[in-house]
Amino acid sequence: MTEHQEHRQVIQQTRRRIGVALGLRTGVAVLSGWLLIWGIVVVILRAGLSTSRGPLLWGFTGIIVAIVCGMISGIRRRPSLEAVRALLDHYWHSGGLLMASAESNPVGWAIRVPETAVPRVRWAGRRHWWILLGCSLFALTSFMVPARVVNQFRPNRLQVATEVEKLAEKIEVLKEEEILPPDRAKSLEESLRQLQREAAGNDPGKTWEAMDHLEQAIAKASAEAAADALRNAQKSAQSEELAAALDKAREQMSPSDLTTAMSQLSKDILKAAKLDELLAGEIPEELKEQLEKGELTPQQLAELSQKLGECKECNLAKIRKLAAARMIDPAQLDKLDGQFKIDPDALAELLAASKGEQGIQMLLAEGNKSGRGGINRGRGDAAMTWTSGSDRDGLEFKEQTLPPGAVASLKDAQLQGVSVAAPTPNPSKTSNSGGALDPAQTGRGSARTQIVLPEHKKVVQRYFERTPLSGTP
Amino acid sequence: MTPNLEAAEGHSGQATLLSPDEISSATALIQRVLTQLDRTLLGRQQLHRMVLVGILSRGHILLEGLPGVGKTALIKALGQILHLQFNRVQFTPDLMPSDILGTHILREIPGGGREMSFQSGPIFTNILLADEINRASPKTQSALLEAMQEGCVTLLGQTRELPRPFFVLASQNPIELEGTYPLPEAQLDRFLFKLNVSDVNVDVLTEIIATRRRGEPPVPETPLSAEELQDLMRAMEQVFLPRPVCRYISRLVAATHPQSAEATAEVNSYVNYGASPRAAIAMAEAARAHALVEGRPSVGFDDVKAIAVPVLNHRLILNYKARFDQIGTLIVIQQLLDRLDPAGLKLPADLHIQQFEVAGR
Repeated sequence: MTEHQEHRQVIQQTRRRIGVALGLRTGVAVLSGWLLIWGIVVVILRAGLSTSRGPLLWGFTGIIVAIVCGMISGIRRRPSLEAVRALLDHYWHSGGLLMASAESNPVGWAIRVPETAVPRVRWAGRRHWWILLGCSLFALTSFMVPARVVNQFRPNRLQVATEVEKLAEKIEVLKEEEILPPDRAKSLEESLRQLQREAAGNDPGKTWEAMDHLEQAIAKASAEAAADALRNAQKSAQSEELAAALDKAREQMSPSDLTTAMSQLSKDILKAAKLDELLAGEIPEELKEQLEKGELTPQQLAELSQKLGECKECNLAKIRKLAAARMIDPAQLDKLDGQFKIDPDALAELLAASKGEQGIQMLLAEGNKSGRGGINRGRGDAAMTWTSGSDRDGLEFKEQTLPPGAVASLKDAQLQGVSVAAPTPNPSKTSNSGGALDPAQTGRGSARTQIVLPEHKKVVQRYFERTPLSGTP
Repeated sequence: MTPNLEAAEGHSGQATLLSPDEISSATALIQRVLTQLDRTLLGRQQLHRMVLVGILSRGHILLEGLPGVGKTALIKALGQILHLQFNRVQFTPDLMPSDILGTHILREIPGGGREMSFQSGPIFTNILLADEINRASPKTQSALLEAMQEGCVTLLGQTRELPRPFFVLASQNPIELEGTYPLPEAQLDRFLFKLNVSDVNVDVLTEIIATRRRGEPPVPETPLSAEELQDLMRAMEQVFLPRPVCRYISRLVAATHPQSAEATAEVNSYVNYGASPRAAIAMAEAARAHALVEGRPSVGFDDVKAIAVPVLNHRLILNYKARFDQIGTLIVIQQLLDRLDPAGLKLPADLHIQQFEVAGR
């Protein structure tokens, strides 16, 4: 081996040693960093997400990767051959000859090389090793700490997921049924999410109070929607039945009566349509115009009846959906059964009998009742129908103040019997205990007044002598 | 040894270093000069060595020292040893540029007419001793600028070459500064070295008194011939400067600038302006000369360190804080040399490479 080759070999060995030292140093640094990061991640996952230790064991593979990456990075940072040659030239005090031998021909010159040519590379890495030890202990501790200790540091969360889910479902139903405006529904959903995020076990009252408030808002909206749907369904059902009855009573009614009845039906439907957007949208304009004119053909009447029925079913479906979501009392569904059942035959008979003059609402009320009214048209529980009220003139008792003597005599009165007839006055038994002022009335200025007793019998007789009204029992 | 490395570091087509024989002959000449200088001025070995390094580098030298320490004697002896023409100019406040450079005078010619002829000044010599240069006015000091840098003098539009080699060896007195004009930075930068001529110790002084009457130095016996001086200069041209040393010089000069990458805390705190590129060039030349004086065909890091102080000490401009903290350029440069890694490995601070003693081979 020539001197030149020997020098190059020493240079390469020195460079290798420096590279190993740099690789070891960088590897330890990277490993420390990885252990620290891994320890923090383990703590966060265990304390925050209750992750079990099993999956976290994969972090051990990162140790090998960190060591390899660190060493590769360190080795890549090793100095160039030229720099190492310059270093050795400086250390060997060769006065630039070693450096010059790489660039020129040092003929005749010998470089003095020390006995131990390859210098020793020493890494004073005590601080790095201590850091590595600390990071290792931290990683191990974070891994080995019992779960009950870790859980102590976990924030005490209030488990409201189920309740929040139920409320979210209700809001979704309200949104689907267009009961709530989209903005309002979005606002409620955002409030619900925030509530779930901020639900802390340390202050459950606040969370529950907020949830109650949300639930009340949802319940109020549901109840209002259910009431509206019920009202609209009722209106639609009534109009439907009336339309069906009109169709049936068409033959029995005169055209004018039919027109009058249809006009009233039209008013009723239009009034209901103002409150029910669904109904307003379902009935075509042409049908409305014909209805107002009272000139509906049987086909149009059937179509109107069908539309009204569809509206009713839609509203009923909404109510059933709200009930299914437990947003309204399910008992209300039971009330719906039979509420819209009107006997169309009876209604047609009423229409024919009233000739369209009687109010639609009245007719519907009659048709919706158990009986048909009157002593020969229904059951005993059928309601009485009253016309105008009685004249009360001469029928009421006039209040008068009894003289003190009469009051005093009543104290000594004895019950002789009970009679349905008016008592017969007995003037002879009139007490004169009051002396000359006995019959006198206070404040009248007269000393004596004739006593007038009430004529009960006459009043009762006149009451029963009245002429009974038609249609009254 | 891998083939790649062999190819990368092959020797074919490369410059050849000075052979040991060539170095030996050059070293013998240098030793002759140094021996005579040492015999002329006692106790100034290091100063003589640095002056010779400056001469071999073809640079101008500024000598600073108290009166009577032998500045003029040294320069005079050097001129005699190198067998070069020597002129001495005592700089005074009323000295004019023409007193140094020369002037045109009206002279009668034999035919009866008159003509302007140039009367050369004392600058037309090989070695000019500018004694107490800081006593002349800036105008006169500036007259030397072109001569020092270009080696020529321009008067009335005519440029005249100065004799080669041309050296300016100036001296200045660090005391009695009243009535003096400090050299401007541009002129200071033209001096290769600024050497401090210090007092001699008692033993040397005793030797001087005992051996010399009236202090007259002995006359040099064997001055160098012109051919020998040429050989010396030729050898100087062949001294090899490796690339890592070039880089070290560059890093060193760059580090004298505040806020540079490798600037030390002292540089950042106390230096206003760092060294110029001319300083790097001067350092490279001086390092070559130092290597030759040391008898080596190539420049090492130690050569750079040896000449760094005289090259840089007059080129760093310190701030008032340095003056207040009594920090001189010597301290700043020394800190720089201590902390700058010559090889430039950029190793971490906790990674040490243990140095072994060199065994003779």
